[in-house]
Amino acid sequence: MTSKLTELKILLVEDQLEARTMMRNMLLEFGVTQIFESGDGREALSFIDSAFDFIDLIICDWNMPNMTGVELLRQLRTVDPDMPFLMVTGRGDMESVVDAKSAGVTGYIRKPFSPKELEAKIRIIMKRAEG
Amino acid sequence: MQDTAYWIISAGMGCIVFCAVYIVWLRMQLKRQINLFSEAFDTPAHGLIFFDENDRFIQANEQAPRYFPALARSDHQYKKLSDYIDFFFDHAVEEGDPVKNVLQKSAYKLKGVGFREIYRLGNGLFCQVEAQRTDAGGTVLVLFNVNAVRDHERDVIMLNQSNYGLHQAVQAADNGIVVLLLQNGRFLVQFANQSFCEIFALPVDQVVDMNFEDIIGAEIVFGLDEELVIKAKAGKPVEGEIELKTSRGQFWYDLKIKPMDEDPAQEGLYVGVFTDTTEIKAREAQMFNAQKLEALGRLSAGVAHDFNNLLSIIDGYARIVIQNIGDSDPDSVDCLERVRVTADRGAAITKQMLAFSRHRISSNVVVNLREVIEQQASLLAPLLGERVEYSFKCEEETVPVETSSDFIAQIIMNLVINARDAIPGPGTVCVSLTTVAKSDIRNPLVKNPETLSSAKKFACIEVKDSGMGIPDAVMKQMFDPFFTTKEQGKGTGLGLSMVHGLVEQVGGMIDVSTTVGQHTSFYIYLPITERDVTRTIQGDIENIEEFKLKGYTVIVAEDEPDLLSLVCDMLEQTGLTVLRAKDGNEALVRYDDHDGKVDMLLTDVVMPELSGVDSAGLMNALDPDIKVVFMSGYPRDGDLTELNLPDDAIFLAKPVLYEKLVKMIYKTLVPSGKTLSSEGASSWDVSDTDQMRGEE
Repeated sequence: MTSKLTELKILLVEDQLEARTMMRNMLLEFGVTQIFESGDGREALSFIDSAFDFIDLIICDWNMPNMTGVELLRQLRTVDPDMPFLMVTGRGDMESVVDAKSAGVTGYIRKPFSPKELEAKIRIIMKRAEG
Repeated sequence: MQDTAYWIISAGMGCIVFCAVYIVWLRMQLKRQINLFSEAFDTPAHGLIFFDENDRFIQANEQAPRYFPALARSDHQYKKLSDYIDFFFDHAVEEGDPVKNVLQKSAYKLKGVGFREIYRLGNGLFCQVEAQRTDAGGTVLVLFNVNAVRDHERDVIMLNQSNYGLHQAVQAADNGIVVLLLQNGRFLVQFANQSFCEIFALPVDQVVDMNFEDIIGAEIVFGLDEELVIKAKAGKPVEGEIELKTSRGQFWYDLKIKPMDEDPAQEGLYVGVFTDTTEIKAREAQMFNAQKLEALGRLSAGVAHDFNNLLSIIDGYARIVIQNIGDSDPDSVDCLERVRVTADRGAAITKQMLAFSRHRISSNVVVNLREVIEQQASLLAPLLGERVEYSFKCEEETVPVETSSDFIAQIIMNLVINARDAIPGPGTVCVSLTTVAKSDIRNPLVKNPETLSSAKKFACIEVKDSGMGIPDAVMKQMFDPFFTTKEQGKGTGLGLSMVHGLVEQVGGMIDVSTTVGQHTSFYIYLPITERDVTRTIQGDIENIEEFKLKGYTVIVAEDEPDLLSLVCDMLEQTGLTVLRAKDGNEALVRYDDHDGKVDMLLTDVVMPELSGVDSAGLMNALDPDIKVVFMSGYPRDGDLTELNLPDDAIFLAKPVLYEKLVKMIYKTLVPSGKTLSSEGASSWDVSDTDQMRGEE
């Protein structure tokens, strides 16, 4: 685990290409270069399985067709309870937040967000993970 | 017998062989000499015809027939000198005395040229003949083509022209050029150009044959020592630097003397070149000074930064102990108060030191000069004591200047204290504030065209005292750092130098008028801005203890652990909820921990991992309403660390003193009917001008 933002290996899970590209550009903007992408929850899970302990942070969209973000998170937690996980959501209701929290989310960010917000969230999550 | 005969024969043979070899060698030598002679004889372009002492023809060289065609024939009839003279006579171009007569009258009596005549040959060639006596008593006729002479004359004219050009160039050169002849151990001037004569103020027509060492020896202060001269006399090139003191001032020259001969002899010609390096020297000195100041600035900024952290801690804990002790031990409280006062004084020193690090003044604050100076009165009066009367007058209602009130306070304080120290007995210090047009300011003492503002109107702060005036010698140095006329321990020598720096930073000028024994006036000119005065929070908080900030939450980010806990302790006393963070990242986590219910971030600027400015930016992205106050030991927008604070940032200069901190937090957090700055920015100065008390 590294605390330097630029050295982070981040997995982006988002089914919409445009949203994924936008997030990728934001990450590139503040110096993250090792970005891995997936448009599907199952695909992402098998990637995490094959490259265990390789990824530092997962940024994942809530709403995805085959597997939602929360489902992905629940499955992930069975194998890796500590992996930093940032949920991207369009919902702001308390219920969803509680749902995500119970699934073991480390942080969430509401759409739409600015690059600075994303950076702040990532820094918070990574600092927490550091201990 | 036989033996004897044998030996005689052998010896005889040997002699014969030797003689034969010798003769062969002699012939070779002779032949070589003859060859050499005939080569020399035939080489010149001139025709030569030789006659013996009886005027009989002996020989002519190879070229002679060109000028006397009859010689080409082996059976020519010209056997005697008179035959030749008849020929010349017949062919002479000029009318006049017969050639014969000339010969008779002069040629035989004079050594050298006997006669000279020009004649024309059949092919139209003009030739000249000269008759010369030879050492052997004979005569030689020298014949040559006149056209060649004409060419020669043309060459001489051209050579003269080119010489003239060179001469003019040497005369026009800026360098002093002198040609010297080393003779009997003395350098005698052979030639000196205009510049050389000007350097040593010599009349051009008298310089030749003067002794070089006499000329320069009397004038040179430094540089041309014995060794140099000895070296030059040994035929070695000499390079040196000399300082010349003349009635026109002090000059520096690079001097080079070197022999003109490639293979220098003990005696011979030398050329000396003087190059004026006075301006270069002056620039070097300026640069050296600037570098010195810059190094000083860097050093003091670095020291001040660490020092301010320490002072904050000393002052803070002393205050806490005072509170804990309360009224139970007044003596200890008194001692601790002294500790606090001393820390305060230390802060004042770091402030002065920082004035030397090249920090800029935040440009978005416009102060009303009149107001700022008026506010100083309460501080100045006790400083001046009873013997010196202080007055301030100003006709204008507002005099807007882009600067900070703190800097104005420093300028006024320094000048007024200097004024006080210049007054031996009772006296007056009058400060007046007027506005003047730039065009009316004539030749101020300090004016830097590089920094000077382009404003058309300037505010003029005059600080006039009835003191003893400033002597000329002091005037020259008074703006130099560390120059002081005060006793050891009474002045730092930084006061005026700092004023100078501050005034230059805002693009102003300084002038001084003084009469020794009577009075001195300092005039500080500061550019007047057309912008409106930045409105600051009016009114002051009288009793700090009354402020309760319960209900507000503040994150404090500071990487110096002692200072962090001190600041947090201070803030907790006011009832604030305080969240501690060791760096910028931690500040973000504290924010998130608290679910974003944070009112303010108080952050150090320079921190590892994530700086104060960056973490404030990120926190602002999460919550645009959060208030941010920066604190640093470096000056705001200091060039040294490129803090890059946002323009509307609120900045708290370290050392963090309790009252200052609480006032600032209160003013930032508590919304009140009092107005904030018109631009929405809150760039006020809460720095305590009390700190200036007692310093120069």
